[in-house]
Amino acid sequence: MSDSRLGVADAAGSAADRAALEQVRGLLLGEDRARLIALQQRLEDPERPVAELAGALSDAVRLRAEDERFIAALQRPVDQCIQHSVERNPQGLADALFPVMGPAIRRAISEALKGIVQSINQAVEHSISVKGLRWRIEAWRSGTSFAEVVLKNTLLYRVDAAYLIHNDTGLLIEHALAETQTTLKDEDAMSAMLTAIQDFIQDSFTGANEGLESVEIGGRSLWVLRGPKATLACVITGMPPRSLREQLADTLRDLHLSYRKQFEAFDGDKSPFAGVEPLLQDCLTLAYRESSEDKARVSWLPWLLVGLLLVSGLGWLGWTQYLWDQRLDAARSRLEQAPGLVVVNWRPSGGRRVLLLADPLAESPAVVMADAEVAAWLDLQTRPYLSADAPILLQRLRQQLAPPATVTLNLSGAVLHVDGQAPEAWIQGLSALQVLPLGVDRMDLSALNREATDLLARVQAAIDPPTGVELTLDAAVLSLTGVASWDWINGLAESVAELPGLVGCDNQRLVVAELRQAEAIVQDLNGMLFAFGESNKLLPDAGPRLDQAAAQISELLALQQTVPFGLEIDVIGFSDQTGTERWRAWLRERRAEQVIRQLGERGVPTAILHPLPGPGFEPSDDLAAVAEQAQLRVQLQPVPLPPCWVR
Amino acid sequence: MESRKICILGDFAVGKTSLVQRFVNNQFSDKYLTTLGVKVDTKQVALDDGRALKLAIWDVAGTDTPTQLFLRYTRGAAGYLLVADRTRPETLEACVRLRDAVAGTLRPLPYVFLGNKSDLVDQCRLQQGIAQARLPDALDWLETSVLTGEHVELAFRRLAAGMLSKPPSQV
Repeated sequence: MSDSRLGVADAAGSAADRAALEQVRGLLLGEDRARLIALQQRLEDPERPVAELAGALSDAVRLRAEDERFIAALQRPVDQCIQHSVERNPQGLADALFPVMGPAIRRAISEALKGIVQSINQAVEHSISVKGLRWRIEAWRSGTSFAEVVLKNTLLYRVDAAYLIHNDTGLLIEHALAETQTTLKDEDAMSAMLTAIQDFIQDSFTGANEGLESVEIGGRSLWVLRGPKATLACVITGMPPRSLREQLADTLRDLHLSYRKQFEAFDGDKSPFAGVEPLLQDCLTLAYRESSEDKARVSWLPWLLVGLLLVSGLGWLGWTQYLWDQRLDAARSRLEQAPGLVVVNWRPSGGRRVLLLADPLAESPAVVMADAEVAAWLDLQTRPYLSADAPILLQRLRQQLAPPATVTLNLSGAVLHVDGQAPEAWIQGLSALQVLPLGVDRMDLSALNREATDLLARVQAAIDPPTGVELTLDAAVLSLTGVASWDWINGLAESVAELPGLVGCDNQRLVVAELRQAEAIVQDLNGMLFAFGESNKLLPDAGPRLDQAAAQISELLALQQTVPFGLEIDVIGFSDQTGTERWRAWLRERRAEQVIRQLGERGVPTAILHPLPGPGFEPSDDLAAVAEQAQLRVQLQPVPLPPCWVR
Repeated sequence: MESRKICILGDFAVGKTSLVQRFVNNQFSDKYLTTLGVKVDTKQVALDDGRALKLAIWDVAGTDTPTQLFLRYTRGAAGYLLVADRTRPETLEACVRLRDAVAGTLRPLPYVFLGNKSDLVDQCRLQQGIAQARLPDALDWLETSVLTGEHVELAFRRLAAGMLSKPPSQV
């Protein structure tokens, strides 16, 4: 209870204290007190800071819009918000993005269609050119489609140069060139004019933020990629794919992300763009592709070799076939020309079969062809027939008529000429023929003589003896006497060999006419003297004698060509008895040699002349041995007669 | 070396192209002026303080009223030469209109006013004082003659120096 009262008293006291305290506060703080109270209420109100932040948030974001840290801080929650929004209500975001995506999609489709049209244009363009034909062969060889080959060969390009141009000023910020490229005369002027052209096109044609995209300059292209602040212009050789444009666009986008502020502040000072050049260099390297022309050229080598081998093989086969055809033609020609053979059918359908008509008297076709390999390869089929060819007809007549050896048969057209000598009985049989042999219309017997019945007459007819040769028959043995030529005597044996009725022949009493002539010459030559003076010098009157001797020796040698008789000629030198014996011996030798030399100069072969020194004065009794002269001594060894015929 | 884009502006036939030809070696044919409405040449100038500056000089086809294409061509310029024909005082008014268009559409840029054809002394009716009064914000007012070469190179050097040293003045 007391506590309760005390509490009431305390409550009354504290209320008074608080009032006093409030009064003191009022005196100390004055007007600030109300502000403090307001501040306290503000701190204690959770809604109030949010409302105040909402009011200031837009200004705060605008102030920090350029701050990289602020952008980085917002990036993640914004990404999550967008992701969450798309998951929850994709249609809303699609509706919001439609105005942006529509043109973007249209542009992407347009770019893709441009690429397809470009490829089709290339395919059509190359399909009718020489290069196109080569590519068609390549497509056929590799089993791929022609379009693929065209694309593979045309998508070769190289970015030769890349220029980064500031859009507003048209000034060249930076550029990169391939190693093989030379710099332009004035890149700044070029970039400024390109910018002017872009401005002109935009103002004149599109009016929107679109402009010139590419320029074709001969085999090169200038691609212009325009960004918000800068333009990337690339000079490209070859046929770049459309995908390259996307890669270059990526580079331009990266440049804008990295140098956005620098682009905006650019007034001609290029120093802030020190890092741009490597990026432009990447444009060159990333697009560079090695040309496949060299590879294609190298790959022709094996094909060339294969082609050469193929051509060589075909050439060899063709040549071999040509030679074989030549042999077949030659064989056919010989068959067609052979008497008694007729080619009826030669290799029908190019096969091996050959059909022939063959007379039984004709030669074998295989022999006629004279080519065993061809004859073995061909399938020769023969049918018998009777030939009217002259050689076969004559052969058949000889078989039928059996003429003696002294009778010859000849055909002139259908007339049979019978020449020579025949026995009476055979001639009578021939004349008595009732039916002429096949192929003969008439027989001419005007040159047919009956054989002589007298043996001597037949012998005379057979050997035709020269004048001066006498024939005698003794018991059917023929004896011949007289002078005859060496050749006639030699042929005698053959002439009488087959004479019917003759049993022997004696020719040993015949004299060889050439030998008789030679012996007469030898007789003239033997002992011929050539006078010398005191030394080994011939006297002037020796000349005509030497001429005569030389002519006669030459005549002997000519006769020796016909009749092989032996001939020895010695030249003997002589001297008188003056001087010493040694001197005289020397003089004799020289004189013999002098005559030989003189005869040699007149055409006599000196090999048949033998020098022979004559005997000294003592004890010779030959008068010639003491004269100043030389003498010829000729010896002829006659050849024996060939035997005639002894049965 | 730093570069700057400058334009040379003025009415028809005031001698802009002749001024440029007097100053630079031609890179492109003058036919671009009639087809594109602009022709660009470059020239390196040495300043008094030893620095060098490469100028990309856009010779914009003459006009007395600025068109959309005219403004496109002047965009990004660091300064310009404004040319009037001293024998035709009305060309000064075209200069004023072009100056106003550039300042209004882009931003105020440093420029040098050139009273050209000063060699035609007897026919000169445009006095420098009038030009100074009408174009007080110019870096300089020069009387030029393509015929004699008077002040031609000086004009470019004065503009180059002004672009590098002076902030753009407010009209």
